[in-house]
Amino acid sequence: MDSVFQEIYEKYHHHLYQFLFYLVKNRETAEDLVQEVYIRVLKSYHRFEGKSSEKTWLFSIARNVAIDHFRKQKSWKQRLVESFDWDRQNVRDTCPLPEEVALQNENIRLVYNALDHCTVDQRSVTILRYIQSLSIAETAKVLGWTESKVKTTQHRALKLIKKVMEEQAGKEDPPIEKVPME
Amino acid sequence: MKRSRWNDGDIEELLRNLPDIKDKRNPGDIYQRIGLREGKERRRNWVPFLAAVSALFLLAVLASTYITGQKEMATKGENMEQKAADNDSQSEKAASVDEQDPSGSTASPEGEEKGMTDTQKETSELNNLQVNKGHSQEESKAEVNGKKSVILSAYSVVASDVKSPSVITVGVPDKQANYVVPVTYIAEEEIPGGSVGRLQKAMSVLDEESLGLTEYFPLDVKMTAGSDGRAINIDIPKGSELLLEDMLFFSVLQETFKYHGVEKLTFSANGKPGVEFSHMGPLKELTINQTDNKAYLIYRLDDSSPKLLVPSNTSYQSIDQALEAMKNGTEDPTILPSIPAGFAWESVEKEGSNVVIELSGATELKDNEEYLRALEAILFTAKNFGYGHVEFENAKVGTIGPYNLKKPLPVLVAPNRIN
Repeated sequence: MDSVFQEIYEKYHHHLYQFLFYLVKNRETAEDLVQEVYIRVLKSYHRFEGKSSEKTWLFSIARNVAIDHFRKQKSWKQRLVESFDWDRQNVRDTCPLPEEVALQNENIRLVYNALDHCTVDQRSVTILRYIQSLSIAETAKVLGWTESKVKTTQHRALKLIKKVMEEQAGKEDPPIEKVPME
Repeated sequence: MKRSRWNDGDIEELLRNLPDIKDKRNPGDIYQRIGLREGKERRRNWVPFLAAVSALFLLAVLASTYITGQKEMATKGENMEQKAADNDSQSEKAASVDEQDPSGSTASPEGEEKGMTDTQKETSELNNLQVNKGHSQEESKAEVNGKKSVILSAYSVVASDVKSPSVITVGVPDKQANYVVPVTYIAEEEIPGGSVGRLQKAMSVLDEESLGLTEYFPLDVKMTAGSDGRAINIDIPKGSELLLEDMLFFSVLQETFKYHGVEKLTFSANGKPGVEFSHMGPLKELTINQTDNKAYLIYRLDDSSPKLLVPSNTSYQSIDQALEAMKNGTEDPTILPSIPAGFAWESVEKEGSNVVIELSGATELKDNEEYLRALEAILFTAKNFGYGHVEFENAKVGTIGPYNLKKPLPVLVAPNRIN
């Protein structure tokens, strides 16, 4: 087995897989994409000069792989759907909840589902910042953005997630609570 | 509005608490898959390249055979002409017989026509026909030099590789206007105006009287071809006689455009779509039926007129019935049976797009004018039922005219060649 592969696998595989999984929310797709990340990394590892940290370099590759995946998917499926339904708002495949999430409490499930309503950029920031625990500076490097852009995107993502969660929670509440008492 | 349940800190906390999702595969497995993917991608890059190269190669091979084939045809054709000039009628006949199969479709029309003449000198009728054609003999000689790939039999246009625009068929009513006889004119020079121009030219040069038919053309209509050549618009002026005699007009259109591959006609009156016919009523379009299940009989007005193949007015359910009907005449004295009584068969089988006719033991086919017409009538009838070839089993004669009975015969292009 390639020593580069081994090294990256040991250090980063879990992080890369998890990052991709939360971006695409599908185990099989994430598996395919993480392989694609390795292919790209092995091809260009000799060009990696250590200018940035290995970690941010790998995440930026993973993000590009994911974006390519979305583009490809969009090219045949979503474009077709979009051309028929202009009112549609970012409807995604309804993947079953992974068991890890299903076992969690209701609030976690709400957050997990609310991520679907974020744009790819918002989701990337959210995952990198909170799930991968990257700093603002690291996140900015991965995404190739300025730190202030990371901050505003993160802020908007949180606001959106909160809003979606409240809507969802409201739906699940018994209707009697919603009736005003006046 | 309900008070918000969560503040930003709560949401951040919840996000941090999202569960770990692990890749359950082992690293060896993943590494192997990467190797496979890489290999596949590299191979995939080769596939279009290889496909392109092999396509080019094939194209080159095909093109070269086509070009050399053309040359061979040309030289063969020239040889034929020389032979004809030598006046060696025996060898001519042999040559014309050799060249019947459509794959080697190289016989020169002239050589064949002469060959035919030799085999059929005994029939005085044919001499009449030859006289009829005689005037165009010189012209067709000139044509031979230009177009080598046209094979003509005595009465019909045969070759599948005929340059189709040069063959123009027009349906002409008989003297009683009961039947419509398709006659075919071969253009020897470029005619301007596309398919419609060729058709109008053919209609104008047609001498209906000499064929024993009704003087019917030219028509007082304006024809315009659709972009794909499958549809033609016919603009009929107000008060045209065609509107009164519409049933005959429709038969003429059907018998004309059937052989041109036209599928649909549209009608207009002074540019406005839709025409009011006296019998059919208002009509915007007419579908041309390429396979109208007709039997081909023989039309002959009188002893001085040529014999012409004519489709029956009735449609038949099966080709068996149609072939039976071709042995019987009609009450009309000008419509004659096309198949002689001695031409009998045991069975008529369909095999895909082929019709297989098993001749009965008593059938003595003869290589003469009568059987030649019968054969052509059968080939056109088969075409009208949508078949591509006719095969004869048990034939005691190898060839009739230019047709080799030992092989499946392709159906013919157009009947009753008049020039």
